[in-house]
Amino acid sequence: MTDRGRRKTMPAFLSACAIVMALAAAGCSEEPTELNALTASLPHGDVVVRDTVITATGSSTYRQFEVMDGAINLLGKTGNYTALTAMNFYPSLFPARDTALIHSARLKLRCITWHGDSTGTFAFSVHRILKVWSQTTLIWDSAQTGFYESASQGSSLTGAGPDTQVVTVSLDTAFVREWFMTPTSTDTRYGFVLVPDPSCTIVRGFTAFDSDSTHLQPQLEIIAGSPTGPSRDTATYYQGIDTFVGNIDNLTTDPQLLYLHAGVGYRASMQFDVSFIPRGAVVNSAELLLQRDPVTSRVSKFTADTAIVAQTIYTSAQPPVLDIVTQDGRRKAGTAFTFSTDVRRSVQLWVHGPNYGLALRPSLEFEFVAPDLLTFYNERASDPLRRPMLKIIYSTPL
Amino acid sequence: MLKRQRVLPFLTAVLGLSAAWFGTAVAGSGGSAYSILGIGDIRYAPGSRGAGMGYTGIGLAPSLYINAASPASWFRIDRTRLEGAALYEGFNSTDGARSRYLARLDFHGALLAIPISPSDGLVLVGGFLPYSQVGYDTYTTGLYSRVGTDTVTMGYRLHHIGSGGITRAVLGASCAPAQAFSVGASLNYMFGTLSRSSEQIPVQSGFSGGTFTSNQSISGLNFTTGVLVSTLGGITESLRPLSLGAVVTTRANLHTIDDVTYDYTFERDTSAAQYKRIGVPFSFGVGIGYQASERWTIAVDYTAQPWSESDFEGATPAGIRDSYRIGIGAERAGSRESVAPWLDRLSYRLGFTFHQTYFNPGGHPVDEWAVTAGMAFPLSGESRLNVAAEYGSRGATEGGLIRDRIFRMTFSLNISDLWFVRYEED
Repeated sequence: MTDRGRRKTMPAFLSACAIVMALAAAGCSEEPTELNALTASLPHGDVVVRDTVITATGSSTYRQFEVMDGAINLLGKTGNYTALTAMNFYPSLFPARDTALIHSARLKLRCITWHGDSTGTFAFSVHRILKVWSQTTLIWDSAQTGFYESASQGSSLTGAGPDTQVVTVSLDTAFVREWFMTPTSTDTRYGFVLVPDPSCTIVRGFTAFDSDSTHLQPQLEIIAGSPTGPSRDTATYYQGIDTFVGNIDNLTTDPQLLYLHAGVGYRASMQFDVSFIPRGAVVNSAELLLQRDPVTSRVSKFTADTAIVAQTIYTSAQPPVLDIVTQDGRRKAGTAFTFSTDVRRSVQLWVHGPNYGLALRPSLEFEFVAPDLLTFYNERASDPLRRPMLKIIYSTPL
Repeated sequence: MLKRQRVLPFLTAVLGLSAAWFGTAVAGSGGSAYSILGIGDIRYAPGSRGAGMGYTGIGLAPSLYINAASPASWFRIDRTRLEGAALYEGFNSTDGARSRYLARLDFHGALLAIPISPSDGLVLVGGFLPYSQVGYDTYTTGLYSRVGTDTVTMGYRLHHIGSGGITRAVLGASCAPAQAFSVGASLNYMFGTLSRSSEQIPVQSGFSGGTFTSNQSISGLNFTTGVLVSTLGGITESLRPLSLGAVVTTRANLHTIDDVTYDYTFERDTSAAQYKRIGVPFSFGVGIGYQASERWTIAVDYTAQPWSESDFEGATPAGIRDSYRIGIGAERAGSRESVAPWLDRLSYRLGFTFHQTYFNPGGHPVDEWAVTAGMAFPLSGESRLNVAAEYGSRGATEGGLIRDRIFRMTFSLNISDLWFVRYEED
């Protein structure tokens, strides 16, 4: 190449070389990792780790009627606990047969659990629902006065029976015939509610419409026929909406206890003062320790795991607004009645503030399917070792 | 229509600067572990020419370069110049047991010089230069244990990362009241953010960690002024090749806004901002230049900064001391004859520098030395592509410290144009 040619091409060539060299050289760098990290006596900064154990500064039990809408519907009475079940087969599934005769209508409920006196009486009646309702909104309060008709549309009286017993109740045919009428703009087919009789001494749990097996779902078997001839048809319906509502009054009798009652909505709130932890500290661990009272707790044999759930309370409103994240607590290995819950999230949020405390409730696995009761000693327990304790390990920058 | 010779340099400049910025984005997280001290690694950026000559330039007055070492040296610039630079910096560091090589590519400043009145040496210069850089990434470990009826043990690692830096925005001018005497001054606005984080990583399961990140936004002003006697021929003829320069930068009171961000497993929190200040001490330097022949130049510089007078919220932080730098370098300038062979048109530079850094962790001084070399490639007209390479060493493994083998390469593009002057063919 001539010197003149070199002068023409060299600038671009050199520029390209410089750029490529720079990028290639930068690419030779290793990645800093823990394995190749160097140890040096430089002021990198450290953290101070501290641990502490504190007891609750306050607690209370509160009742918050909850929408149950679980996989099991409860019905009956045991002790002071009462459960009603509301059901409505989808009206759209019934054909419009204004002149059809209903010869019989039987409601079949597949039982799966029981609670209370296993030798007791299971008695209930069927009542027409008078209001619009939904399985995702119905709670105990809204299922009281004016929700259903006092007149019975059917009743059942049985013994406890086996766990998998199918309870059958005959419904009033005139009541069922209304479901085959041509719908009108003032349609009032809201279904029915099953109400335990005063003589009932057991709570049965039966599978809901949500069951993934049709033979376990509530079924309505209807035999209908022509008003002018002998022909009869048998039709079975097993789709609809259902839920149960439950309540127990005068539950909180011992001031040293917190009551978590499933099947109603009894929960507890608890406060700890963590204001001594400086803002900015990392909460490395926070273990809430509760002592269960085995005497007053009431757990059925169908509850496999007596777990509880702790949730951070977000506001001072009543009932409290809870953090969507749940923290599970279970019996601590090697102990008989000590429940341990990892509440790192709550304590970390409290350090940041504000601190409205912690809500305790039965595990989601049985809060909506069983009338179980768990009781725990609170900070007023006469034995200090039974009081709620919070073990915290936290770190602050040095 | 612009002449082709004028378009090419600007296109090359855009390409080069783009590459520098891109390089910044793709570069690794390299840096010196010592940058955890003070306000990080203090940059000395006299330009690629000075970097190749042992970081000298206070006593020189080039017309082809924007010499950032002294504002008094700008008076010879007779056409508009733009210079942008990128710095590749690699640290091969060892603590005596382990070693690693970390490197990064950074933007290393850009300056624009506009001659207002060349006959009076009145030149206006503005741009950005790096002042300090923080870049460390290392781990330490810790253990917390309580023995008793309820034994607790929590081991943890701390991952320390530092990043950011301070940039100096420069706006200054030079003038030459006499033929061999020039003065210059610049206003320097220093700004940037230093970020230092420590992430606690528990070793055992069942424990949560978190990250503390301290962010320090910095801003403040200082001034630089310089004088340059471009020839001492007025004293005696034998001193005609000698030039002498001096530069002083005033103390900077930097205002800082500090906050700490806490990142936890479950949430994030930020502390309230705190307003503080950092007093960066003044600095000064003197330099001598010797024009041995038309193409040979020799330069010696000495700069110092008494960091013992620094003021970080009322106190001088531990681990720093007074710093100074000595540099010596030589350049064989390329021929400017258009008919000269291409290799003869290249400039060649060589130098050596010793730097007593302001790092003094635990009373162990950290000194740095380096040999430097550089070349300037003529691109078009008076435009140059400059490359400076440097190899040096810093610190020692004694005292539980780190020895850095440092490899730096500075790339700069220097382009020029005649602004405000009409070409007849235009």
